[in-house]
Amino acid sequence: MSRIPRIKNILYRCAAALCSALVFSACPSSPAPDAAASLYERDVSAGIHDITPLRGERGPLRLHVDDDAFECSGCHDGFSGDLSEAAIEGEHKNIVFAHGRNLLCLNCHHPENSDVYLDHGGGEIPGDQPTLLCAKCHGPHYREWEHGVHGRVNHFWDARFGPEKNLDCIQCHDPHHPRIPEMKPEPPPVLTRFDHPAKGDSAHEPGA
Amino acid sequence: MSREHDEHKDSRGAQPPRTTDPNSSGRRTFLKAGLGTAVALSTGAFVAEPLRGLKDSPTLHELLRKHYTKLTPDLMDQVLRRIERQVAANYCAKVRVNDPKPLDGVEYAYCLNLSRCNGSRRCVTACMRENNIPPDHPEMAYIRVIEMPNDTLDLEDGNPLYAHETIPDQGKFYLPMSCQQCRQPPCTKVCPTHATWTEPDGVTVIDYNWCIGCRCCLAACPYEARRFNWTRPEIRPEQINPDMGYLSNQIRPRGVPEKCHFCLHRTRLGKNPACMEVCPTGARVFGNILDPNGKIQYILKNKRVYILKAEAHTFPRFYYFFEK
Repeated sequence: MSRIPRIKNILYRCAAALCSALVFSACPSSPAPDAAASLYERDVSAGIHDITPLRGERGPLRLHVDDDAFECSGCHDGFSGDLSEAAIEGEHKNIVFAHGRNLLCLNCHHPENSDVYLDHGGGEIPGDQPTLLCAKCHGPHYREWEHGVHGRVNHFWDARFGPEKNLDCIQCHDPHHPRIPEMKPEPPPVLTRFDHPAKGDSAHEPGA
Repeated sequence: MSREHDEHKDSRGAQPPRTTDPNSSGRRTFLKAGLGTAVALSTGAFVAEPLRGLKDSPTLHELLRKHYTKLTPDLMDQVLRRIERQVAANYCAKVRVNDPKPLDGVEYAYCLNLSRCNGSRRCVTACMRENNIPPDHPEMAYIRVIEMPNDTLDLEDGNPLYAHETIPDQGKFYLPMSCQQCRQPPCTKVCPTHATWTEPDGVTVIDYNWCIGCRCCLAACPYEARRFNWTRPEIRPEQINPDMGYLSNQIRPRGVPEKCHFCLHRTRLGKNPACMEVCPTGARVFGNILDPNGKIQYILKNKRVYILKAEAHTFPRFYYFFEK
Protein backbone atom coordinates (compact mmCIF):
# COMPACT_ATOMS: atom_id res chain seq x y z
CA MET A 1 0.00 0.00 0.00
CA SER A 2 2.70 2.48 0.86
CA ARG A 3 4.80 1.66 -2.19
CA ILE A 4 2.25 2.46 -4.85
CA PRO A 5 1.67 6.15 -3.94
CA ARG A 6 5.40 6.69 -3.74
CA ILE A 7 5.89 5.33 -7.22
CA LYS A 8 2.93 7.38 -8.40
CA ASN A 9 4.41 10.43 -6.69
CA ILE A 10 7.69 9.92 -8.46
CA LEU A 11 5.86 9.49 -11.76
CA TYR A 12 3.83 12.65 -11.19
CA ARG A 13 6.91 14.60 -10.29
CA CYS A 14 8.68 13.44 -13.39
CA ALA A 15 5.67 14.34 -15.50
CA ALA A 16 5.42 17.75 -13.87
CA ALA A 17 9.11 18.41 -14.36
CA LEU A 18 8.84 17.34 -17.98
CA CYS A 19 5.83 19.56 -18.55
CA SER A 20 7.37 22.56 -16.87
CA ALA A 21 10.60 22.11 -18.78
CA LEU A 22 8.60 21.98 -21.98
CA VAL A 23 6.55 25.00 -21.02
CA PHE A 24 9.38 27.22 -19.83
CA SER A 25 11.58 26.45 -22.75
CA ALA A 26 8.86 27.16 -25.26
CA CYS A 27 6.78 29.89 -23.68
CA PRO A 28 7.93 33.46 -23.07
CA SER A 29 7.85 34.82 -19.55
CA SER A 30 5.48 37.67 -20.29
CA PRO A 31 1.83 37.08 -21.16
CA ALA A 32 1.21 36.87 -24.86
CA PRO A 33 -1.15 39.58 -26.08
CA ASP A 34 -3.85 38.10 -28.25
CA ALA A 35 -5.50 41.05 -30.03
CA ALA A 36 -4.03 41.30 -33.51
CA ALA A 37 -5.42 44.83 -33.72
CA SER A 38 -2.98 46.01 -31.06
CA LEU A 39 0.00 45.20 -33.27
CA TYR A 40 2.35 48.10 -33.60
CA GLU A 41 3.31 48.78 -37.18
CA ARG A 42 6.27 51.05 -37.64
CA ASP A 43 6.82 52.89 -40.87
CA VAL A 44 10.49 52.61 -41.75
CA SER A 45 10.27 53.71 -45.36
CA ALA A 46 12.22 56.84 -44.46
CA GLY A 47 14.79 54.87 -42.50
CA ILE A 48 15.05 54.64 -38.74
CA HIS A 49 18.31 56.56 -38.40
CA ASP A 50 18.90 60.25 -38.29
CA ILE A 51 21.41 60.70 -41.10
CA THR A 52 21.31 64.48 -41.13
CA PRO A 53 24.86 65.69 -41.68
CA LEU A 54 26.56 67.64 -38.92
CA ARG A 55 25.63 70.97 -40.49
CA GLY A 56 22.45 69.83 -42.16
CA GLU A 57 21.55 70.27 -45.78
CA ARG A 58 23.39 73.23 -47.27
CA GLY A 59 22.00 75.22 -50.15
CA PRO A 60 23.79 77.77 -52.31
CA LEU A 61 25.79 80.62 -50.83
CA ARG A 62 23.55 82.62 -48.50
CA LEU A 63 23.67 84.55 -45.26
CA HIS A 64 21.66 82.58 -42.68
CA VAL A 65 20.06 84.64 -39.92
CA ASP A 66 17.40 83.02 -37.72
CA ASP A 67 16.14 80.56 -40.34
CA ASP A 68 16.13 83.26 -42.98
CA ALA A 69 18.51 83.14 -45.92
CA PHE A 70 19.64 86.30 -47.67
CA GLU A 71 21.42 86.54 -51.00
CA CYS A 72 24.81 88.16 -50.70
CA SER A 73 24.14 90.42 -53.66
CA GLY A 74 21.24 91.93 -51.69
CA CYS A 75 23.79 93.92 -49.70
CA HIS A 76 27.07 93.58 -51.56
CA ASP A 77 27.66 94.72 -55.06
CA GLY A 78 31.12 93.20 -54.99
CA PHE A 79 33.54 93.84 -52.15
CA SER A 80 35.80 96.79 -51.56
CA GLY A 81 37.84 98.43 -48.84
CA ASP A 82 39.58 96.62 -45.94
CA LEU A 83 39.16 92.88 -46.44
CA SER A 84 40.92 91.50 -43.38
CA GLU A 85 39.32 89.85 -40.38
CA ALA A 86 39.03 93.19 -38.57
CA ALA A 87 36.63 94.40 -41.23
CA ILE A 88 33.95 91.92 -40.19
CA GLU A 89 31.21 93.81 -38.40
CA GLY A 90 27.45 93.90 -38.42
CA GLU A 91 25.76 90.84 -39.88
CA HIS A 92 28.97 88.84 -40.10
CA LYS A 93 30.27 89.41 -36.59
CA ASN A 94 29.30 85.89 -35.48
CA ILE A 95 31.67 84.25 -37.89
CA VAL A 96 34.47 82.43 -36.12
CA PHE A 97 37.70 82.35 -38.08
CA ALA A 98 39.95 79.36 -37.61
CA HIS A 99 40.93 78.16 -41.03
CA GLY A 100 44.68 78.13 -40.63
CA ARG A 101 46.31 80.94 -42.54
CA ASN A 102 43.36 81.26 -44.86
CA LEU A 103 41.74 84.27 -43.19
CA LEU A 104 41.06 86.73 -45.99
CA CYS A 105 37.50 86.93 -47.34
CA LEU A 106 38.62 87.29 -50.93
CA ASN A 107 40.65 84.11 -50.78
CA CYS A 108 37.33 82.36 -51.36
CA HIS A 109 34.63 84.96 -52.08
CA HIS A 110 34.58 86.60 -55.46
CA PRO A 111 35.49 90.31 -55.36
CA GLU A 112 33.00 91.40 -57.99
CA ASN A 113 30.15 88.87 -57.95
CA SER A 114 29.30 88.23 -54.30
CA ASP A 115 27.00 85.27 -55.07
CA VAL A 116 29.80 83.03 -56.34
CA TYR A 117 33.18 81.78 -55.17
CA LEU A 118 36.54 82.74 -56.53
CA ASP A 119 38.39 80.32 -58.76
CA HIS A 120 42.06 80.40 -59.68
CA GLY A 121 42.85 83.23 -62.09
CA GLY A 122 39.77 85.25 -61.13
CA GLY A 123 37.25 82.80 -62.50
CA GLU A 124 33.89 82.04 -60.87
CA ILE A 125 32.79 78.91 -59.02
CA PRO A 126 28.99 78.62 -58.74
CA GLY A 127 27.64 79.34 -55.26
CA ASP A 128 26.05 75.86 -55.04
CA GLN A 129 29.32 73.99 -55.72
CA PRO A 130 31.54 74.86 -52.79
CA THR A 131 33.32 71.52 -53.11
CA LEU A 132 35.16 72.83 -56.15
CA LEU A 133 36.27 75.80 -54.08
CA CYS A 134 37.73 73.57 -51.35
CA ALA A 135 39.47 71.51 -54.03
CA LYS A 136 41.58 74.55 -54.90
CA CYS A 137 43.75 73.94 -51.86
CA HIS A 138 42.76 70.47 -50.61
CA GLY A 139 43.59 68.44 -53.67
CA PRO A 140 44.39 65.10 -52.01
CA HIS A 141 41.26 65.28 -49.86
CA TYR A 142 39.20 66.15 -52.90
CA ARG A 143 40.60 63.15 -54.74
CA GLU A 144 39.71 60.87 -51.87
CA TRP A 145 36.29 62.45 -51.56
CA GLU A 146 35.71 61.63 -55.22
CA HIS A 147 36.63 58.02 -54.46
CA GLY A 148 34.21 58.00 -51.55
CA VAL A 149 37.01 57.53 -49.05
CA HIS A 150 36.97 60.95 -47.40
CA GLY A 151 33.75 62.01 -45.74
CA ARG A 152 30.58 60.13 -45.15
CA VAL A 153 28.85 58.31 -47.99
CA ASN A 154 25.19 57.57 -47.50
CA HIS A 155 22.55 55.20 -48.83
CA PHE A 156 24.06 52.50 -51.09
CA TRP A 157 27.47 50.89 -51.26
CA ASP A 158 26.59 49.16 -54.51
CA ALA A 159 25.58 51.31 -57.49
CA ARG A 160 23.58 48.39 -58.94
CA PHE A 161 21.01 48.83 -56.19
CA GLY A 162 20.85 52.58 -55.89
CA PRO A 163 22.76 55.82 -55.86
CA GLU A 164 25.27 56.68 -53.20
CA LYS A 165 25.51 60.18 -51.83
CA ASN A 166 28.79 61.82 -51.00
CA LEU A 167 28.19 64.63 -48.56
CA ASP A 168 29.54 68.01 -49.61
CA CYS A 169 32.48 69.43 -47.66
CA ILE A 170 30.40 72.13 -46.01
CA GLN A 171 27.79 69.66 -44.78
CA CYS A 172 30.32 68.56 -42.18
CA HIS A 173 32.89 71.36 -42.09
CA ASP A 174 32.17 75.02 -41.46
CA PRO A 175 34.37 76.72 -44.05
CA HIS A 176 35.30 79.50 -41.64
CA HIS A 177 36.43 77.07 -38.92
CA PRO A 178 36.63 73.65 -40.55
CA ARG A 179 37.57 71.49 -37.59
CA ILE A 180 34.72 69.14 -36.60
CA PRO A 181 33.29 70.58 -33.37
CA GLU A 182 33.49 68.76 -30.06
CA MET A 183 30.45 66.66 -29.24
CA LYS A 184 28.93 64.89 -26.32
CA PRO A 185 29.47 61.14 -26.62
CA GLU A 186 26.66 58.63 -26.29
CA PRO A 187 26.58 56.76 -22.96
CA PRO A 188 29.26 54.12 -22.36
CA PRO A 189 28.54 50.41 -21.99
CA VAL A 190 28.40 49.00 -18.49
CA LEU A 191 31.12 46.73 -17.28
CA THR A 192 30.23 43.08 -17.61
CA ARG A 193 32.10 40.21 -16.16
CA PHE A 194 33.70 39.55 -19.52
CA ASP A 195 35.27 42.99 -19.66
CA HIS A 196 38.66 43.66 -18.25
CA PRO A 197 39.25 46.87 -16.34
CA ALA A 198 41.47 49.30 -18.18
CA LYS A 199 45.03 49.84 -17.10
CA GLY A 200 45.26 52.79 -14.73
CA ASP A 201 41.66 52.36 -13.65
CA SER A 202 42.16 53.29 -9.99
CA ALA A 203 39.14 51.32 -8.78
CA HIS A 204 40.88 48.12 -9.79
CA GLU A 205 44.40 48.92 -8.68
CA PRO A 206 45.60 47.04 -5.61
CA GLY A 207 45.17 49.13 -2.50
CA ALA A 208 42.65 51.47 -4.05
CA MET B 1 -4.37 12.26 3.76
CA SER B 2 -6.91 14.24 5.74
CA ARG B 3 -9.45 13.66 3.05
CA GLU B 4 -8.85 9.98 3.32
CA HIS B 5 -9.63 10.17 7.06
CA ASP B 6 -12.78 12.12 6.34
CA GLU B 7 -13.90 9.48 3.94
CA HIS B 8 -13.30 6.94 6.65
CA LYS B 9 -15.30 8.94 9.18
CA ASP B 10 -18.16 9.40 6.77
CA SER B 11 -18.36 5.76 6.05
CA ARG B 12 -18.27 5.08 9.80
CA GLY B 13 -21.08 7.55 10.44
CA ALA B 14 -23.33 6.01 7.85
CA GLN B 15 -22.82 2.40 8.88
CA PRO B 16 -21.78 0.62 12.03
CA PRO B 17 -18.08 -0.05 12.17
CA ARG B 18 -16.95 -3.28 10.75
CA THR B 19 -13.64 -4.74 11.57
CA THR B 20 -13.34 -6.78 8.44
CA ASP B 21 -14.98 -5.92 5.20
CA PRO B 22 -13.81 -7.66 2.07
CA ASN B 23 -14.96 -4.71 -0.02
CA SER B 24 -13.42 -1.96 2.06
CA SER B 25 -9.85 -2.43 0.89
CA GLY B 26 -11.07 -2.49 -2.74
CA ARG B 27 -13.13 0.64 -2.21
CA ARG B 28 -10.28 2.40 -0.48
CA THR B 29 -7.98 1.50 -3.33
CA PHE B 30 -10.58 2.72 -5.76
CA LEU B 31 -10.93 6.02 -3.90
CA LYS B 32 -7.20 6.44 -3.72
CA ALA B 33 -6.83 5.73 -7.39
CA GLY B 34 -9.57 8.27 -8.10
CA LEU B 35 -7.89 10.81 -5.89
CA GLY B 36 -4.57 10.16 -7.58
CA THR B 37 -6.12 10.56 -10.99
CA ALA B 38 -7.77 13.83 -9.95
CA VAL B 39 -4.49 15.16 -8.55
CA ALA B 40 -2.67 14.06 -11.67
CA LEU B 41 -5.24 15.72 -13.93
CA SER B 42 -5.28 18.95 -11.95
CA THR B 43 -1.47 19.04 -11.80
CA GLY B 44 -1.30 18.39 -15.49
CA ALA B 45 -3.86 21.10 -16.19
CA PHE B 46 -1.98 23.53 -13.95
CA VAL B 47 1.32 22.76 -15.55
CA ALA B 48 -0.08 22.82 -19.04
CA GLU B 49 -1.99 26.06 -18.48
CA PRO B 50 0.73 28.24 -20.10
CA LEU B 51 0.79 25.82 -23.01
CA ARG B 52 -2.68 27.02 -23.98
CA GLY B 53 -1.23 30.51 -24.45
CA LEU B 54 1.31 29.01 -26.81
CA LYS B 55 -0.58 29.53 -30.02
CA ASP B 56 2.17 29.04 -32.50
CA SER B 57 4.16 25.99 -31.65
CA PRO B 58 6.82 24.84 -34.09
CA THR B 59 5.67 22.37 -36.65
CA LEU B 60 7.11 18.89 -36.77
CA HIS B 61 9.05 19.90 -39.87
CA GLU B 62 10.66 22.74 -38.00
CA LEU B 63 11.42 20.72 -34.90
CA LEU B 64 13.15 18.14 -37.04
CA ARG B 65 14.43 20.66 -39.52
CA LYS B 66 17.78 20.48 -41.21
CA HIS B 67 20.69 22.85 -40.85
CA TYR B 68 20.22 26.32 -42.31
CA THR B 69 22.51 25.59 -45.24
CA LYS B 70 20.36 22.61 -46.24
CA LEU B 71 16.92 24.15 -45.83
CA THR B 72 14.62 24.21 -48.83
CA PRO B 73 12.98 27.56 -49.66
CA ASP B 74 9.60 26.21 -48.56
CA LEU B 75 10.82 25.17 -45.14
CA MET B 76 12.74 28.41 -44.75
CA ASP B 77 9.58 30.32 -45.54
CA GLN B 78 7.71 28.41 -42.82
CA VAL B 79 10.42 29.31 -40.32
CA LEU B 80 10.44 32.99 -41.27
CA ARG B 81 6.65 33.30 -41.09
CA ARG B 82 6.60 31.63 -37.70
CA ILE B 83 9.23 34.06 -36.37
CA GLU B 84 7.06 36.91 -37.62
CA ARG B 85 4.05 35.51 -35.78
CA GLN B 86 6.09 34.98 -32.63
CA VAL B 87 7.34 38.57 -32.64
CA ALA B 88 3.76 39.72 -33.15
CA ALA B 89 2.60 37.64 -30.21
CA ASN B 90 5.48 38.36 -27.85
CA TYR B 91 6.45 41.92 -28.75
CA CYS B 92 3.20 43.34 -30.21
CA ALA B 93 5.00 44.45 -33.35
CA LYS B 94 4.37 43.72 -36.99
CA VAL B 95 7.67 42.84 -38.61
CA ARG B 96 9.04 41.34 -41.80
CA VAL B 97 11.70 38.66 -41.52
CA ASN B 98 13.65 38.05 -44.69
CA ASP B 99 16.59 35.91 -45.53
CA PRO B 100 18.59 37.69 -48.23
CA LYS B 101 21.22 35.51 -49.83
CA PRO B 102 24.87 36.42 -50.51
CA LEU B 103 25.53 38.38 -53.69
CA ASP B 104 27.72 36.84 -56.36
CA GLY B 105 31.21 38.24 -56.63
CA VAL B 106 30.94 40.13 -53.38
CA GLU B 107 33.12 39.87 -50.32
CA TYR B 108 32.55 42.55 -47.76
CA ALA B 109 35.30 44.45 -46.01
CA TYR B 110 35.32 47.43 -43.71
CA CYS B 111 37.90 50.17 -43.35
CA LEU B 112 37.99 52.63 -40.51
CA ASN B 113 39.96 55.87 -40.45
CA LEU B 114 41.31 56.23 -36.93
CA SER B 115 42.38 59.81 -37.61
CA ARG B 116 38.77 60.76 -38.26
CA CYS B 117 36.91 58.88 -35.54
CA ASN B 118 36.12 61.24 -32.68
CA GLY B 119 34.59 58.73 -30.29
CA SER B 120 31.05 60.08 -30.38
CA ARG B 121 29.57 56.56 -30.21
CA ARG B 122 26.89 57.49 -32.73
CA CYS B 123 27.65 54.22 -34.50
CA VAL B 124 26.97 52.31 -31.30
CA THR B 125 23.48 53.69 -30.81
CA ALA B 126 22.60 53.35 -34.49
CA CYS B 127 23.76 49.74 -34.40
CA MET B 128 21.61 49.03 -31.35
CA ARG B 129 18.57 50.60 -32.97
CA GLU B 130 19.12 48.77 -36.24
CA ASN B 131 19.75 45.40 -34.68
CA ASN B 132 16.99 45.34 -32.08
CA ILE B 133 19.30 45.47 -29.10
CA PRO B 134 17.40 46.64 -26.00
CA PRO B 135 18.34 50.30 -25.44
CA ASP B 136 18.59 49.68 -21.69
CA HIS B 137 21.40 47.20 -22.22
CA PRO B 138 24.35 49.09 -23.68
CA GLU B 139 26.61 46.21 -22.72
CA MET B 140 24.98 44.22 -25.55
CA ALA B 141 26.11 46.72 -28.19
CA TYR B 142 28.14 45.09 -30.93
CA ILE B 143 30.53 48.02 -31.31
CA ARG B 144 32.81 48.99 -28.48
CA VAL B 145 34.64 52.29 -28.93
CA ILE B 146 37.98 52.14 -27.16
CA GLU B 147 39.70 55.32 -26.07
CA MET B 148 43.43 54.88 -26.67
CA PRO B 149 46.33 57.09 -25.70
CA ASN B 150 48.23 58.45 -28.67
CA ASP B 151 51.31 56.59 -29.90
CA THR B 152 50.19 53.08 -29.02
CA LEU B 153 48.05 50.37 -30.51
CA ASP B 154 48.16 48.19 -27.39
CA LEU B 155 44.53 47.46 -26.60
CA GLU B 156 45.46 46.83 -22.98
CA ASP B 157 45.97 50.58 -22.62
CA GLY B 158 42.52 51.35 -23.96
CA ASN B 159 39.41 52.32 -22.06
CA PRO B 160 35.98 51.50 -23.51
CA LEU B 161 34.10 53.12 -20.62
CA TYR B 162 35.07 56.76 -21.13
CA ALA B 163 32.29 59.23 -20.37
CA HIS B 164 33.60 62.74 -20.99
CA GLU B 165 31.46 65.81 -21.33
CA THR B 166 32.88 66.38 -24.79
CA ILE B 167 34.97 64.36 -27.17
CA PRO B 168 37.59 64.08 -28.56
CA ASP B 169 39.79 64.18 -25.47
CA GLN B 170 43.27 65.64 -25.69
CA GLY B 171 46.02 63.15 -26.46
CA LYS B 172 43.62 60.31 -27.25
CA PHE B 173 42.36 58.55 -30.29
CA TYR B 174 39.31 56.31 -30.61
CA LEU B 175 39.19 52.79 -31.93
CA PRO B 176 35.75 51.30 -32.56
CA MET B 177 35.93 47.54 -32.37
CA SER B 178 33.31 45.00 -33.34
CA CYS B 179 33.38 41.62 -35.04
CA GLN B 180 36.36 41.59 -37.39
CA GLN B 181 34.79 39.03 -39.78
CA CYS B 182 37.94 36.93 -39.78
CA ARG B 183 39.01 34.80 -42.71
CA GLN B 184 40.05 32.15 -40.19
CA PRO B 185 37.52 32.68 -37.42
CA PRO B 186 38.22 30.81 -34.18
CA CYS B 187 34.58 31.14 -33.14
CA THR B 188 33.28 28.92 -35.93
CA LYS B 189 35.93 26.29 -35.32
CA VAL B 190 34.89 25.75 -31.71
CA CYS B 191 31.14 25.64 -32.31
CA PRO B 192 29.98 22.11 -31.52
CA THR B 193 26.76 22.36 -33.51
CA HIS B 194 27.84 24.34 -36.60
CA ALA B 195 25.46 27.08 -35.52
CA THR B 196 27.96 29.72 -36.61
CA TRP B 197 29.79 29.75 -39.92
CA THR B 198 31.23 32.08 -42.53
CA GLU B 199 29.02 32.94 -45.46
CA PRO B 200 30.39 33.14 -49.04
CA ASP B 201 30.40 36.94 -48.81
CA GLY B 202 32.77 36.79 -45.88
CA VAL B 203 30.41 37.46 -43.00
CA THR B 204 30.42 35.14 -40.03
CA VAL B 205 26.81 34.54 -39.05
CA ILE B 206 24.92 32.78 -36.27
CA ASP B 207 21.79 30.69 -36.66
CA TYR B 208 20.16 31.75 -33.41
CA ASN B 209 17.56 29.00 -33.70
CA TRP B 210 20.17 26.29 -34.10
CA CYS B 211 22.59 27.43 -31.37
CA ILE B 212 22.58 25.57 -28.06
CA GLY B 213 24.13 28.41 -26.08
CA CYS B 214 27.34 26.74 -24.97
CA ARG B 215 29.29 30.04 -25.25
CA CYS B 216 32.45 28.41 -26.60
CA CYS B 217 32.53 31.03 -29.34
CA LEU B 218 32.59 33.84 -26.78
CA ALA B 219 35.67 32.33 -25.24
CA ALA B 220 37.32 31.71 -28.59
CA CYS B 221 36.99 35.22 -30.03
CA PRO B 222 40.22 37.21 -29.57
CA TYR B 223 38.31 40.48 -30.04
CA GLU B 224 35.57 39.86 -27.46
CA ALA B 225 33.14 40.65 -30.22
CA ARG B 226 30.33 38.36 -29.15
CA ARG B 227 27.62 39.15 -26.62
CA PHE B 228 25.44 36.63 -24.87
CA ASN B 229 21.72 36.96 -24.17
CA TRP B 230 21.54 36.06 -20.52
CA THR B 231 17.95 37.25 -20.42
CA ARG B 232 15.16 37.56 -22.92
CA PRO B 233 15.57 40.87 -24.77
CA GLU B 234 12.98 43.40 -23.62
CA ILE B 235 12.13 45.87 -26.36
CA ARG B 236 9.12 48.12 -26.68
CA PRO B 237 7.22 47.83 -29.97
CA GLU B 238 8.12 51.33 -31.09
CA GLN B 239 11.80 50.53 -30.61
CA ILE B 240 11.73 47.47 -32.84
CA ASN B 241 13.20 47.69 -36.30
CA PRO B 242 10.59 45.78 -38.34
CA ASP B 243 13.01 45.15 -41.19
CA MET B 244 14.61 41.93 -40.02
CA GLY B 245 16.94 39.31 -41.37
CA TYR B 246 17.03 35.71 -40.22
CA LEU B 247 20.80 35.63 -39.81
CA SER B 248 21.13 39.20 -38.67
CA ASN B 249 18.77 41.32 -36.62
CA GLN B 250 15.78 39.16 -35.81
CA ILE B 251 15.05 39.44 -32.11
CA ARG B 252 17.29 36.89 -30.49
CA PRO B 253 15.91 34.34 -28.04
CA ARG B 254 17.39 34.03 -24.58
CA GLY B 255 20.52 31.92 -24.35
CA VAL B 256 22.24 32.57 -27.67
CA PRO B 257 25.19 34.76 -28.61
CA GLU B 258 25.06 37.61 -31.08
CA LYS B 259 27.54 39.89 -32.79
CA CYS B 260 28.11 42.28 -35.64
CA HIS B 261 27.05 40.82 -39.00
CA PHE B 262 27.81 43.84 -41.22
CA CYS B 263 24.05 44.55 -41.22
CA LEU B 264 23.40 41.67 -43.62
CA HIS B 265 19.72 42.52 -44.05
CA ARG B 266 20.85 45.91 -45.38
CA THR B 267 24.14 45.23 -47.12
CA ARG B 268 22.84 42.29 -49.13
CA LEU B 269 20.29 44.71 -50.54
CA GLY B 270 23.04 47.16 -51.48
CA LYS B 271 22.58 49.50 -48.54
CA ASN B 272 25.30 50.71 -46.22
CA PRO B 273 25.57 49.34 -42.69
CA ALA B 274 23.80 51.45 -40.08
CA CYS B 275 27.01 52.49 -38.31
CA MET B 276 28.36 53.98 -41.51
CA GLU B 277 25.13 55.82 -42.28
CA VAL B 278 25.30 57.86 -39.10
CA CYS B 279 29.05 58.37 -38.59
CA PRO B 280 29.33 62.15 -38.06
CA THR B 281 32.93 62.34 -39.25
CA GLY B 282 32.85 59.88 -42.13
CA ALA B 283 35.46 57.64 -40.58
CA ARG B 284 33.89 54.45 -41.87
CA VAL B 285 34.23 52.99 -45.35
CA PHE B 286 32.36 49.86 -46.38
CA GLY B 287 32.47 48.01 -49.64
CA ASN B 288 33.27 45.02 -51.78
CA ILE B 289 36.90 44.00 -51.50
CA LEU B 290 36.67 42.10 -54.82
CA ASP B 291 35.80 45.24 -56.75
CA PRO B 292 39.14 46.39 -58.25
CA ASN B 293 37.90 49.98 -58.54
CA GLY B 294 36.11 50.01 -55.21
CA LYS B 295 36.75 52.08 -52.13
CA ILE B 296 38.24 49.22 -50.19
CA GLN B 297 40.81 48.49 -52.87
CA TYR B 298 41.63 52.20 -53.04
CA ILE B 299 42.37 52.27 -49.33
CA LEU B 300 44.35 49.04 -49.38
CA LYS B 301 46.47 50.37 -52.22
CA ASN B 302 46.97 53.91 -50.94
CA LYS B 303 46.94 53.72 -47.15
CA ARG B 304 48.95 51.87 -44.59
CA VAL B 305 46.31 49.65 -43.06
CA TYR B 306 46.43 47.78 -39.76
CA ILE B 307 44.60 44.73 -38.57
CA LEU B 308 43.99 44.09 -34.91
CA LYS B 309 45.81 41.28 -33.12
CA ALA B 310 47.60 40.04 -36.21
CA GLU B 311 49.38 37.53 -33.97
CA ALA B 312 46.09 35.67 -33.54
CA HIS B 313 46.24 34.64 -37.23
CA THR B 314 42.61 35.39 -37.78
CA PHE B 315 43.12 37.50 -40.94
CA PRO B 316 40.32 39.99 -40.35
CA ARG B 317 38.28 41.72 -43.02
CA PHE B 318 38.27 44.85 -40.90
CA TYR B 319 41.08 47.31 -41.59
CA TYR B 320 42.16 50.37 -39.65
CA PHE B 321 44.28 53.17 -40.97
CA PHE B 322 45.65 56.55 -39.98
CA GLU B 323 45.92 59.56 -42.19
CA LYS B 324 47.55 62.94 -42.09
